[in-house]
Amino acid sequence: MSIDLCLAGNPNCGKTTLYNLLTGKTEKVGNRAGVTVESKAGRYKKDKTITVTDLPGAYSLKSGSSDERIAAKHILSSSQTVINVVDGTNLTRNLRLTCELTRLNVPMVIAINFSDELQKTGVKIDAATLSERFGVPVVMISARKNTGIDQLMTAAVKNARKPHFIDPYKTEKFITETVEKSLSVTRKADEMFTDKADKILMHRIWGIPVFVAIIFGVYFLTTTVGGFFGDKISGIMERFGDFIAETLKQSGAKEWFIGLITGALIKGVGAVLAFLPQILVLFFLLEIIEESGYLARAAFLMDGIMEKIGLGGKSLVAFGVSCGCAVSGIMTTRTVDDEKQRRLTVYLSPFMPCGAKTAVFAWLTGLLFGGNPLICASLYFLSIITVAIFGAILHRLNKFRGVSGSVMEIPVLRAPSFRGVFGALKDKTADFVLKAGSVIFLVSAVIWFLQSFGVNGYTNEVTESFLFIIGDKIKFLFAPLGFGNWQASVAVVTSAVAKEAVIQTLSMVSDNPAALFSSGFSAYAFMAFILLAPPCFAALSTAYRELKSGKDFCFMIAFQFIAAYIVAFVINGIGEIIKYGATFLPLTIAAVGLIISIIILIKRRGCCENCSMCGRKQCRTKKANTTI
Amino acid sequence: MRLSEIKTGKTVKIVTVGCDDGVKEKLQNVGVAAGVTVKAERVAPLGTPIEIKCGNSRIAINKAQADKIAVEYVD
Repeated sequence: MSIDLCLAGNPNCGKTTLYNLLTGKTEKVGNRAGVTVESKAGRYKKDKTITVTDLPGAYSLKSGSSDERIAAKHILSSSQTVINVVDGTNLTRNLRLTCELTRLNVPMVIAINFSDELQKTGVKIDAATLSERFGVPVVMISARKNTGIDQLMTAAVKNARKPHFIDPYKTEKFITETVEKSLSVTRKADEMFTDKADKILMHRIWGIPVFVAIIFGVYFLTTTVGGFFGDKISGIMERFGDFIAETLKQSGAKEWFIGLITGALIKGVGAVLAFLPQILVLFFLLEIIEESGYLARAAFLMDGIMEKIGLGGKSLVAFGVSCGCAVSGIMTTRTVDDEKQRRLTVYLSPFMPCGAKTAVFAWLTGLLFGGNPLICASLYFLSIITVAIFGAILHRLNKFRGVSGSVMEIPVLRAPSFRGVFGALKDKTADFVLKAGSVIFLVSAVIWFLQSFGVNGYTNEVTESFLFIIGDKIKFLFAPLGFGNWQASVAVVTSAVAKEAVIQTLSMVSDNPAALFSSGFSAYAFMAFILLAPPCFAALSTAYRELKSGKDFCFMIAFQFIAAYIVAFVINGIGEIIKYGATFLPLTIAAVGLIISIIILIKRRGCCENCSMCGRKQCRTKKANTTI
Repeated sequence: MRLSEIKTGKTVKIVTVGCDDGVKEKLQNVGVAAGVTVKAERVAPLGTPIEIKCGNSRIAINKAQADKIAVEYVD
């Protein structure tokens, strides 16, 4: 006869780790509350007639949050046997839910998790006493070390059809007494590793350099290790492409066909595969950071600054990673808890100069500014300023006002479990290759087509291709920015495939790219535009998948394009003003007007923190809480 | 006295929690409520959030919210 088990307990008490053990699956475990957000069901691997459901963490079934309602609903639904997973290192708090569960009159057993940690810190919990107090079996387990599991399952099965009911009178007192009777410290607990580590990790002054070092480490490892293997793969794909081209040529295939296979197909697939090592390294490092509990500490350190634009410390991690590659950075936004904040982070991350963009700037700086290092450095600052300004503007719109995690639990530092890390790695990578990959490939094919075909069919001459026609038609758009010529327009279009393409395109369409820009300012405006405009299709498709909404995606593209346009316009405007003096009135007025409206948008203060857009003196909504 | 004004290392008892409803509930869930004793652990580099120890849990609270929690010293 089948038995339905469900795992209920506080957030972050090890339910999912236990679930993975019981079912042999590799669901994502995260060392923060809110990782399991829907219930997952599977079968006990040693006895398929037993189903196991992993419920979202709940502190109390009476709470309003959706996580907790899901848990309550499931438990009460149908002949469930509850395994109440309790975090042994946090007994008092965890037992509150236990008391609520015992009032539900369902069959249940209690599993005290983290017995390995309890042992290490010399804390002993008397399972027999607890069992007596609550009237249900109590088993000590360690999900991480895989101990006590069999005993737990035996007890659960044995108890499966025996509903149990006790109503602890005066819950708090009951819990306090229970803990007193069953908890004992057998030796003075050594200062836990966590506390020692946190003296530095969360230090008021040193915490930040450590944070910067870790972010830099992630960035460094993904670009070097990931880059190294990525280049190897690119090389292999290129040689493969050449080989195929030769073979096809020998068998007399038409030139355009060879181009299709090598230029679109092989090159496209190669582009996706070349990204893969980088993605793998990034996910691996991020999983470790998250599962060990460091991510919460990073958020703790950086929340202060990020609050200004309504984001949290985790968003800063995403920005940092975006300096390597926007694809990675956007993926990193998954660590952000609040949906609105996450969306805003996705919108702002691509403003950071990624590896490809930096390559373009280095090349252009070499050509136009004699390789002056200040130019590239200033572009980093430009991106930070843009994020700050436009982030502050969007923050004013309620759509992006996420709930700041005003209350966050700081988890104990734990060594990540390899099962969890590799499981997540496997899932995310497959995800990326299959979905993002297909888009990247498709776009490469389209661009190839546009540049190889013209009104007269296949052509080697760029000026005859569709790409040229497009570039020519849209060049007027860029005139106010200082680069209104077809060559620059075409470069902008090809940058959609990859920002580095700007280098190839400009070299291809012009013998003297420097001449394309009327002044240093317009060249800088061009770089600013490339920096801030919507990212390459790899990043765009990643963003689309993270946003899950066509509407939000279109908003993002429009937002980034407008931001890039405004900034480039202002920069070029400054150049024009300097060149022609203040007599160039219309432009001066437009630029100044723009700057003033931006400042107003940011500085606008409303009546209370709930509605900063309304600008009223009296708050229409609930009055802010009075102070004590 | 407000929770946000407590020097790190000091232990205090919570008198009232005047936070916004959603936050108050979250705090209650992790055990931070009137009558409970907590210890101020540290403050983040930029003044917010503030970390307190409540029982065996370590909780980070936004300074703006900590401003709304009234406490008194226990000695």
